[in-house]
Amino acid sequence: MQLTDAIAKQIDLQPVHGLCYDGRRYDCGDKLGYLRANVEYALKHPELADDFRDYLKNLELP
Amino acid sequence: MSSHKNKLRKAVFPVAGLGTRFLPVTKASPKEMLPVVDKPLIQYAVEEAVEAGIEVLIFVNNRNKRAIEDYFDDARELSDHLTRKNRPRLLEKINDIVPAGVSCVYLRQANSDGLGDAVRCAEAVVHDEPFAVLLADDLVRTDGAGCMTQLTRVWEREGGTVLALEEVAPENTSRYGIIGGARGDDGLWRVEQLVEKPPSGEAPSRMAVIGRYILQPDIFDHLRNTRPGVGGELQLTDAIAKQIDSQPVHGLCYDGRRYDCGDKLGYLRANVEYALKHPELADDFRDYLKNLELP
Repeated sequence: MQLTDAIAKQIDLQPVHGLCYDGRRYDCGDKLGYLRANVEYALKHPELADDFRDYLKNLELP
Repeated sequence: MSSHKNKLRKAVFPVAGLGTRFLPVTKASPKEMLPVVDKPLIQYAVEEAVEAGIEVLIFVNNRNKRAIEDYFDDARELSDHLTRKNRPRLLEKINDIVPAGVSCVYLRQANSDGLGDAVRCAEAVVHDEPFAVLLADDLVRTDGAGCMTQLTRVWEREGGTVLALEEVAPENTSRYGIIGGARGDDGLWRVEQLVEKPPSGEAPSRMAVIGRYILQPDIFDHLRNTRPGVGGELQLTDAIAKQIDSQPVHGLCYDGRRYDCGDKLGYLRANVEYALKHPELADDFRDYLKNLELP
């Protein structure tokens, strides 16, 4: 049962607005998206950001 | 019974720690259930033990760790769902978590009173056999044989107690059990001394004991006679130190790379490096990292 289909039924009755939000989305239902979220949140983490950035800078990628 | 003394069948997984370093994520779920890419830490440890021939997995839990029992149990609703949706590969992933012929035993540690106390809880199940201990938050990646398999090979040849060793920086000796002893021509250390968390000036060496052990059952007698040590906790290290006079204690510098997943940075590194080896994700994740702009 799709929420989208139900919202579609509202369109005739009331205004349905769409906002291009300002921000970056991580699809954490996907393994790669989840990994990216981990990396980018760690790079903003007050305790970890510096050490993790240095680690990534020195990481030898195959 | 005696035949069991020549084969390593049982492994103890102490999983009763409170995971305070990972709060708040560990408030309701154990740190051993933290995922590295797509598997929880405890599964990596179990796979390593099973590869080494272990047949009985003994989890020393606390009252908040139902998640681990559930994880290694059947998930009937989920398997029914995957069967109905015809997803055989996913079904395999959840059904192969505990291989056939391997059984799980769950024990409770009433108080988190240290690793020694957790191991002592397992006495009634281990009885008089040698056994392995694996700490899941020490994640060890190897290209060939797993860390526990490497220890088992030493034990099959030499007997006694076998510890996994790693050389640490002098300023880090206060975070580990540190051995003193001599390295033989075969590369094995003969452990003559064992000190829990010595300050760098007082450490007998820089060889640290990591979270993989093969122990003899008389460790339980020594644990009974050991008083709480560093941090007011019953230290496994202190009990092993008491065995040194009565039987050989070997140390193996294992071949592999350890990630201290009890530490946030170590855990992140593990995620990055396991993803870079992951069959489905390696290429995309490597490309992502290559293009990542670092501040």
